[in-house]
Amino acid sequence: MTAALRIELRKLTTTRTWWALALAAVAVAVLVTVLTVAGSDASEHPPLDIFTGALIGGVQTAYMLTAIAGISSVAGEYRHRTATASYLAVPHRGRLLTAKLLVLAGYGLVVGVVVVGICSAIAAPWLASRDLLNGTLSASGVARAVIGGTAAIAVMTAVGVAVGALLRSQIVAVGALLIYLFAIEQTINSISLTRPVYPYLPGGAVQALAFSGHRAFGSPTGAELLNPWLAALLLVGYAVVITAIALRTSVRRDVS
Amino acid sequence: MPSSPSSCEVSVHGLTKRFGHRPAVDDLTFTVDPGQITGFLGPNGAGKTTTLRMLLGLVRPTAGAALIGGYRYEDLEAPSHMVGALLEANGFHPGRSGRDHLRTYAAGTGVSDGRIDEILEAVGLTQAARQHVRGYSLGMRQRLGVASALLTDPPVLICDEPTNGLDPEGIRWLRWLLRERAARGHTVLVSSHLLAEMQQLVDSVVIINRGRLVYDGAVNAIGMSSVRVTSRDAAALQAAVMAEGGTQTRIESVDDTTLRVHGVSADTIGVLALRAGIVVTQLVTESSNLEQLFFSLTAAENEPAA
Repeated sequence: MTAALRIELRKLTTTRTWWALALAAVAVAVLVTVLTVAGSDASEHPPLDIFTGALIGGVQTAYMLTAIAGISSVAGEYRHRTATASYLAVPHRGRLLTAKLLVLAGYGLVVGVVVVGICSAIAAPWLASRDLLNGTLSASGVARAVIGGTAAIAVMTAVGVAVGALLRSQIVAVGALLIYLFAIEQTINSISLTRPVYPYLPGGAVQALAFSGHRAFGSPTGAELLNPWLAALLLVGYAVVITAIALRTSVRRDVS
Repeated sequence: MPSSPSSCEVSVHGLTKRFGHRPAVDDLTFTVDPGQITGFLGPNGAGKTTTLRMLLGLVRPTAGAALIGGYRYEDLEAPSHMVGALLEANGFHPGRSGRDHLRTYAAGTGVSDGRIDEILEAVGLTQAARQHVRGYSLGMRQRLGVASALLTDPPVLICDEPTNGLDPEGIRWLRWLLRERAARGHTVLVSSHLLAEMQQLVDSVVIINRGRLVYDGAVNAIGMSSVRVTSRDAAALQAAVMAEGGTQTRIESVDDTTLRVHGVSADTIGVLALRAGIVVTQLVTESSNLEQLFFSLTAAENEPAA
């Protein structure tokens, strides 16, 4: 297992893809946060929701990009035909995939710390200077947004690894991820009939993990979110279940 | 149970792989001994690559076993230290340097960066070591493949069409390298469809066609050369040669006037013809016996069904 982890870590540090995606994640997250803060209005939400609302856009764009990194870590091996070398070095496929999950989750954690750190450092003083926080921002609320937001990026990176393993094709997997995050989840959250399902979907679980509001963003009468611990467990569950399915189907397949 | 094998024998037992209903490899059994170069021959599509990939745990057999030192590849304790593989489809990340490719996959083996620079020097890639593989020629990629196969100096080497993409100098170098390893007692299994090239290289051959074994044995046993002789009285010459020849002597009729003689030298045939007073119009030593054997073994089966 140590060998598999070392190999996966070195795959990450020897090409520019990962740096580029991390940099893009930070840049886009900062941009989204800046735009959200600039457009904030005191009448809309209580103070903490304004802060977390500024952060959530950043976190959501960041995990979209780190999930793509997760997809590439598996699907890219088939695309560049390095899967052969990888399986020769680590013939146990479950071990190889577990190493990828752990290393990419670590990568997501590092990106998450940077993204959430920079976005908070921009949002909090700026909102305060505009008197939007009104001195009521609680330390525990901020801590939860920061820790939860970081954890969300890490777990969603691992979910990306699982999706990449299941679908094997980089284009198909990235396309499926974007369609899911942008279209399917948003649609489910905006239709009143399907809205109660939203808290159980990855997007809803991420909100529950990171943000103190009881109701989901994106709709005035958002669905009630899960308990953050349950949400964390659910997100890990997504990564584990998709990985388990991948191990029994696509990953088992012959490499030629 | 992961284990370290004591022997470096490569063996295949009743190995079968079906893609749908079509058998790509069909109940194949053979053994590759250490200390010599074994050629793995067959026409394109005979099942060579599939067999090698089953040996390396990349393709799952439908039935039977493909073993290295008595263990399946995935059960070897340290597969990278036991087996080096040079495969056609072995890819490289275009944005990773050759040196980093080796460093990445060697990360779990305890191979030092010093050894990596040494092997890059040995394959002639020192200049390009830190360039992205994107800019490598086919020959350079092949050399990088050789470097990854030999990095740990493994006692078993499996090569699939290794001369593809190499220039004549590279092919000579690779031949020298394989011979040197066999001489050190390593196991060397090399697949190819280029028979002339193999004849100069291998000590023994495994020939397959349509997934089935058609020949397994030493090249010497086939007879490395034959003599093609044309005369005005082929029948009389055949009788004269048979009368003198030993148990190894075998004669085929090519046409009314031409014979192909196995196991007797051209010099002896010339002397026998002179003694019998038979006029010989052509006397040629042929050395492409592997090719002849190959075609005689595979041709009948490849005839399209009437």
